[in-house]
Amino acid sequence: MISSLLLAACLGLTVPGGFDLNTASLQELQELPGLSHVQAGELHRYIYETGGLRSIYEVMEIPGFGPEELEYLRENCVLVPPRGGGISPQVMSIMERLAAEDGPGDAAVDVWENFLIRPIPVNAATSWQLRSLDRVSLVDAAAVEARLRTLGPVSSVTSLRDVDNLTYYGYRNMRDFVSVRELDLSSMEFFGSYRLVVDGGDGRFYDEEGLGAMLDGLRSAEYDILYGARGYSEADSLAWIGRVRDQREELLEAENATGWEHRVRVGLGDRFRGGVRLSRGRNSAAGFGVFDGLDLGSINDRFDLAKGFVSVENLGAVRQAVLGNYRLSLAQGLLVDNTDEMMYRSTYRSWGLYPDLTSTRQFAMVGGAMEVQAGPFLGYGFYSNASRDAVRSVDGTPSILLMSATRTSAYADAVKETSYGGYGFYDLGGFLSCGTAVGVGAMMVSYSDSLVPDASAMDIPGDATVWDCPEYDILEAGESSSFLGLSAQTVIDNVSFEGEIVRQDNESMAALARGRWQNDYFYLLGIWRRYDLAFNNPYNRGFAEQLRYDDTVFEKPYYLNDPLASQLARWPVPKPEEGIYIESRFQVSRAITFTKVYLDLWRSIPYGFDNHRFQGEIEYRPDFTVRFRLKYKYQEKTKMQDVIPTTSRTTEYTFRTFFLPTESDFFDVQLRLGMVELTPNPLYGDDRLMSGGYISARWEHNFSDALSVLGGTTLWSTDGMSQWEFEDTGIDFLDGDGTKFYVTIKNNLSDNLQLRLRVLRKDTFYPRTGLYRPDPEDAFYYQGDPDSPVRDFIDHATEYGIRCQLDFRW
Amino acid sequence: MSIIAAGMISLMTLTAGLPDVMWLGEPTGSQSAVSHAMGGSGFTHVSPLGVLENPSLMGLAGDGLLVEFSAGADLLVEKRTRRVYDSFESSIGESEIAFNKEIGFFPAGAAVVLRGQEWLPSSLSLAAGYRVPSTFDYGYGRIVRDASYVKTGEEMLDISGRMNEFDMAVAFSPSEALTFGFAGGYLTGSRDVEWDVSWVDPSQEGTVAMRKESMSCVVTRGSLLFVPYRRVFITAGVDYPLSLSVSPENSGDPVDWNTLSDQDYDLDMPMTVRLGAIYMPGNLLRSRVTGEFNWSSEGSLEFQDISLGLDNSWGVTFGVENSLPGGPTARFGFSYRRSPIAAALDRMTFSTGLGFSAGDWNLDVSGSFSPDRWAQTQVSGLPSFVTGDSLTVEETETRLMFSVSRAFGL
Repeated sequence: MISSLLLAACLGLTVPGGFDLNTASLQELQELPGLSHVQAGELHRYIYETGGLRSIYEVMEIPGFGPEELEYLRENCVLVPPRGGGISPQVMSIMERLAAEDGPGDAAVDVWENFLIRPIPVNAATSWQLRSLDRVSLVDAAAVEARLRTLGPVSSVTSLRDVDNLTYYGYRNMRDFVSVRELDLSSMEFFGSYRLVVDGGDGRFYDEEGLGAMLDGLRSAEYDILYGARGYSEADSLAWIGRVRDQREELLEAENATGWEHRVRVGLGDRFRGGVRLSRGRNSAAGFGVFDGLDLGSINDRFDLAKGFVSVENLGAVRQAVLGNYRLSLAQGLLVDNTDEMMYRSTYRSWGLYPDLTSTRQFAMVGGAMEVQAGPFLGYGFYSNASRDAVRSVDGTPSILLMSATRTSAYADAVKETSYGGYGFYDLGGFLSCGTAVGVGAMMVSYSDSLVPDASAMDIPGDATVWDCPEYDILEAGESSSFLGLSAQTVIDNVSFEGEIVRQDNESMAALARGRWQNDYFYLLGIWRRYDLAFNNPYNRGFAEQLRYDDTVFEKPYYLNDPLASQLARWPVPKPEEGIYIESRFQVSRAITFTKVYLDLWRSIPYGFDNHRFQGEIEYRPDFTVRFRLKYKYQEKTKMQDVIPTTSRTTEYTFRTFFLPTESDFFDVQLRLGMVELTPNPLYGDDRLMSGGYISARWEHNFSDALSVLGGTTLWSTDGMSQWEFEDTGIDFLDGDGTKFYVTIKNNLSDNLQLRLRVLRKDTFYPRTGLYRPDPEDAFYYQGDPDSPVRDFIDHATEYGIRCQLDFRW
Repeated sequence: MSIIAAGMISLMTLTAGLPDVMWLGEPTGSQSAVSHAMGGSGFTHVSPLGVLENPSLMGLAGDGLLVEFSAGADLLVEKRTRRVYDSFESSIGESEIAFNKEIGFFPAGAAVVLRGQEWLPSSLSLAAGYRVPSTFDYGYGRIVRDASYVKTGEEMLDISGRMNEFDMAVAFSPSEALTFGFAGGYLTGSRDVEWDVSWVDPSQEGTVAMRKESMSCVVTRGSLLFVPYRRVFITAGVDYPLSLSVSPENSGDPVDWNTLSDQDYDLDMPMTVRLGAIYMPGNLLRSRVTGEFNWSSEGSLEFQDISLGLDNSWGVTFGVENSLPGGPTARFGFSYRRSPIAAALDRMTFSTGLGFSAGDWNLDVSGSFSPDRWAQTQVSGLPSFVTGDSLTVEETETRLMFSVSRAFGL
């Protein structure tokens, strides 16, 4: 009580002699002579519902209270404002941004969220730690380390602002994750978070890679085989049709399946971490076992992914040791980066070792990993033993690893992969400039069963197409591969140079070098890369324009014995290519900025075609509340298409404006127009010009710091050129003609409890005309009712999404 | 609603009239616009209509007489499509064969709660009311065409009716932290089905067939409310209906389903266990968070010792209420419901609403939206209305409700 009174007196909010209004009982309030019973009841209710009065003047907001009651309470009562929670609204807001923006890896976001709650002690930090933060460059990280080495510890994070060569952008991205606190290894403070996601709704999803397209592909294959159109032997026909039918049966179970995610993370002080994730994706098949060799009954049917880890940090030279699932991304990502996703032209990488509770499946590492630092040496070691999906030939032989979004028993857990290796870095910053280091790493990847790439197991023998896929044909049969990597980096003032070269045991190579020059108003980034055709490291996520099997036969399910093998087109490994990429940002004045300008010149190694891509974006900001952006993109790309190469020339214009009409509102309107010109190809008629575009609008209104509503709508029209756009939670592909709208409610119910609810409706229209065919063999028909005539129609596909996410942190 | 209708027809058609729990129609879920806006669970809503579902919540009601009236409307939009294939056996899209819209209005309920009167022990609360737990509203129409696309006839299916429940409830609060509640009610209602097929050719005879089922049963409920902490309220309860008595009556032309027996029969009903929570975080928006998990024992249901082939089902609801600064009360929520029939019929619902107060009067409005889609192949026994196996149904249900309530300080 005394401390409360002292606090209250210090805050200057009270007059001694009364009791604390915020903790008073109803009876105590009713006994106050200056308030009626009704007023006492209203006051008690207000305090209960709002968590307490933050200021005595807040009583004026209660019905029935006026200056007289205010004065009476000021003179006769004490007010101790309610204590804030452990997590500030600002931190919640940054967590929201991290979760929403494209780019950073999911695993890193988890760790960054922990840093928001327990920031990195900056005075003990190294450039290795700082560069692992979101959008902090090597120059920024080295600048801070150099400052600490030369001038000693800082007394506040804001004093980093004046560090030489640290850009404002880097400082801004760093400041929320660091503090001047000391590492407290004796602390056993317990903290953690729980996340529940329900992702459902109903609708159709016939995009190029969706489950609907897979089901269609399987059905089409089944009929092809039945009609003998594939040239199989009788035995192969029986085998393939059995496989195709089984897979279709399994995938039908996944239609409209609701996605669920339960994720728990816990921590003890600065030492121990742990976490578990159990989830199932929307429209995803389950039933293949979430843990190898463990029969978990109905859990296997309800979830398709289980992950977990325990880790210990700051144990002498051991900076971090993780048992269970982990993510590893080192150097330039050529030797090891085990994410499921490769972002095209992504220049930021979530560098380091992280416990892994992400949705990654095919590249999930399960085992142990360690990060050790001793003096100038920083080392990583890892071991993993995990099941991998693979395409199997009809006789069951695994032919190639596959990242399948729609898994079936034909592919699931086809082989066991054992991978192990290490990467060591020696920091030369002691006698050269800070940020200078060299590294050497090695990795061995082996499989329980030999992978036997075989084009004849993929290609339909009796069709009219010619198999032509050097990216696949170059692969060799084998059970293991080994890789050796070298890396180096240095920083000279505000310029950095980095590079990595990796050699596979088949003598193929991958190499990447990059340089960056930056200051507060400008940066220039250059990247050169080359990936040999035979270089086949499944963990290579180096900078690239295309995925390995983009623009190959694997994009066309109807060319393959098993249409589901087309999922290989998503294999997130760079295409064999060589190229130079140059990117810049330049703030000309307070009002005008070239936000991102880049040019990429690259050669497709399998065919030797030269391609290029340019993008420029300028922003005009006449006032703080208004921004206009104009973006222009041009790309010229050649690919092999049924013997004859096809060149596409893509032009795209985007105009975007943001404005804040009030302090609580944010508007964003975007217009995009694009067109693709193709080389005339007799195989594809005269369809040589495709176009498409959309207009979208988004509005966010903040009712308070704790509640906001975001709504968006998009109208699009395409003539062969699909469009894509970023929504608030991810990328969306737009095809045909259509409209969509979505509403997201974000509610921070307390310092610890956050809710996000999203509803989406998407309508797509595909006109189907000219269906009349004089030849009955060539006619369109209804399944199961071939005699009913099919008229022209408009296929109206409607998709709904309802997603609820609940986060509880403590 | 079409699930219900289709389910009924399929069972009648394929199992010679074996009824299932779908006799009770489409659940309204919530009888108050407030709880409807917060995910559709009345089990965690303190109001006269809410305490009919969870009588222990009377432990949180204020003194005096509370009165509430509620009504609503349902808009059902259903599209039936068939998949079209080209000569390469690839699908080129879904072609619409029927598009149905049905609007149904219903009185959701009216109830009173009485507490804190001199003649009533302070630990006791009473409630009485009427509510509509489920409705039958479904309309299907299709134009029949020949191979030349010429109209040859029309077919129409119309299902209507609703279930009405009259309840009495009492709650006993031995302490501020604990309340027990009990309720009993009488459930009664009817379902009318009419099937009408007419032909353009006057020489072809049309078909008009009707069936009416009258149903009744006694329902019992027990629940408890526990307050472990001043901002958290935990509640649990059981709904235990007794056997449902059904009296069918056929008329019109004889068709498959209305030539079924018109003998009266009884049917066991599923028990439902419910667990709910209310959390008051205490913030400037005066937020209120509610959640419910429920489980029903449909899997054990039998008719004449034959299993109905259903699965036990469960559902979760979640809702949030915020008092907007200087404005009305805003609510939103969602629910997820596992279907006892097939996974393809699992359903998610998004709901939202606003509340306004003027003196002792409260006006609340709410809306919910629930999409659903399934293929004929995913739900065994569904009638297709067309030949072939490619029928797909895309359905949305939009429900609007309003409630008026007032507290009288007697």
